[in-house]
Amino acid sequence: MEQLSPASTLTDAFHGLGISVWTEDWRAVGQAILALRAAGIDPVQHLATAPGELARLHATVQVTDVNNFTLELMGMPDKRMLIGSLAEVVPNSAQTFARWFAALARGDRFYRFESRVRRLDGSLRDCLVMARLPQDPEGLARLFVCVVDITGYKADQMRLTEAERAVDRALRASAMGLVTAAIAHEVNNPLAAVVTNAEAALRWLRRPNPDTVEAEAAIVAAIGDALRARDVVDRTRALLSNAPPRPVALDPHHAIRDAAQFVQRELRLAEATLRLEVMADTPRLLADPVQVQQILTNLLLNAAQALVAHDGLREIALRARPHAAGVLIEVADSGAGIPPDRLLRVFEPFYSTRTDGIGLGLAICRTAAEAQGGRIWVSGAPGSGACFHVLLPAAP
Amino acid sequence: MVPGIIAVVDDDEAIRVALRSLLRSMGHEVRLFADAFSFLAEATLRPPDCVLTDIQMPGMNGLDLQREIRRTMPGLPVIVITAFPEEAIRRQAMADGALCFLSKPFETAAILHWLAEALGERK
Repeated sequence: MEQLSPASTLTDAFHGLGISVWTEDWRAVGQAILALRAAGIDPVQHLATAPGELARLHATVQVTDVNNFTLELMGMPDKRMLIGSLAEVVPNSAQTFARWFAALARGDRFYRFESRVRRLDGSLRDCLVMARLPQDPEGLARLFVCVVDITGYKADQMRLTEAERAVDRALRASAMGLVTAAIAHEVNNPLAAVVTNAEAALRWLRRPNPDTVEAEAAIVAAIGDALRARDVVDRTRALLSNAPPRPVALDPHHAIRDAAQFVQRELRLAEATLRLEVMADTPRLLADPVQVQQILTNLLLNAAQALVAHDGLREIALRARPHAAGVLIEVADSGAGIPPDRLLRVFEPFYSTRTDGIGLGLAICRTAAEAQGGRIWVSGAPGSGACFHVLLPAAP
Repeated sequence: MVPGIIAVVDDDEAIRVALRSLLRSMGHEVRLFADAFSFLAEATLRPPDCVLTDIQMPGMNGLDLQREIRRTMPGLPVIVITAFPEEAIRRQAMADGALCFLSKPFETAAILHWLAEALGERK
């Protein structure tokens, strides 16, 4: 059997591996970067304002060699079609040249980016382009660029993402079946009360001696019931909508002030005071405003509920502050707190300690927080009140 | 219709308040209960002429209440009202001897009709 030398094995690998390898000469670019730096000019900023200069430098890059697989990748019959000025043999490279230039100017050790490569027949391939960037100018005489075709992998990833989305939608839909049943229950009760009160009012008025006091009481009750039905719809609208969250940069002051306004009535009923606090340096949130309102109003309503029958201090704090992973919003109440064995269960759907609750508020909060890429948890021992923590991403 | 004593068992206060007004406007005497236990405690001493009960309630639900009524107060008519109408529950309620099974929001005419039936039965 023929003994292969390590060098010839590597040469075989160079041509035989299904990876495209290019050797390129970037010396002129390296020299330009050094010259700009020597003149006290930031090379990246300079190039950003001088597009002609970028094109001129691009033209200086020379492709000196490619391996055999490169011909296959590019769909080209002859190596000579790829030797020469990079700008000429790969016109498409103009789009990524600024990225290369910036990586070199920053002194990056590696260049690793995805690019779309145009073959001779015009078709496009998704590729991962990698190079180790030499730190010395001489090393730039022979820059090795490696190009891996990831078109199939990308397509698989897309299909996988699509499949995951479909599964997610199906899961949401089946959860929605349960949720809509609960909502139907929640809405049908006040609706029944509206109809019954209105009928009662008619009957009080149609008596031979109309009883306007009874009729008025029934109409007032009907209005309250109708508003309750509206509230249920309002609070579940964000959950029911199939629209993906539309994250925007939100001022934390606005977010918590808006939520506070939404629950003024409930706070009055609970005779609770609400303190708002935004710590200095709290960044803006990156989240869907409707869903943030959903989360915060639900938590505030829960806090108000916890205080309704509470003896002692009735205070709720709504705070926003910076956190390593974004913005932390906290809703803390001075109520009876949550027993330790219930802390984990409170986010489960249909888990409610109230006889008038459907046990969806906190489940909705969790779904909404997770849809923003955030999370929600609760702390607090009996006697010290409950504190809900919502961690949401910060806007860049 | 002859006025009677109607018991309403529902954990939803708005429903209780609304039914009380409606039934009183018809001349009935109305007794309200937020749960099945408080109804049973009183009804054994002072039985009403008819019961309107919800199904989904904490503690004892409407179906269990209905069976308990069948056992202890066999002549008492029961009208079942639910915001969550499911065929299986409806069949169960009817098999257990409910006078009728109404979904919320219910039409007043239906309540009137079945109340007349219930209070007529009383005679």
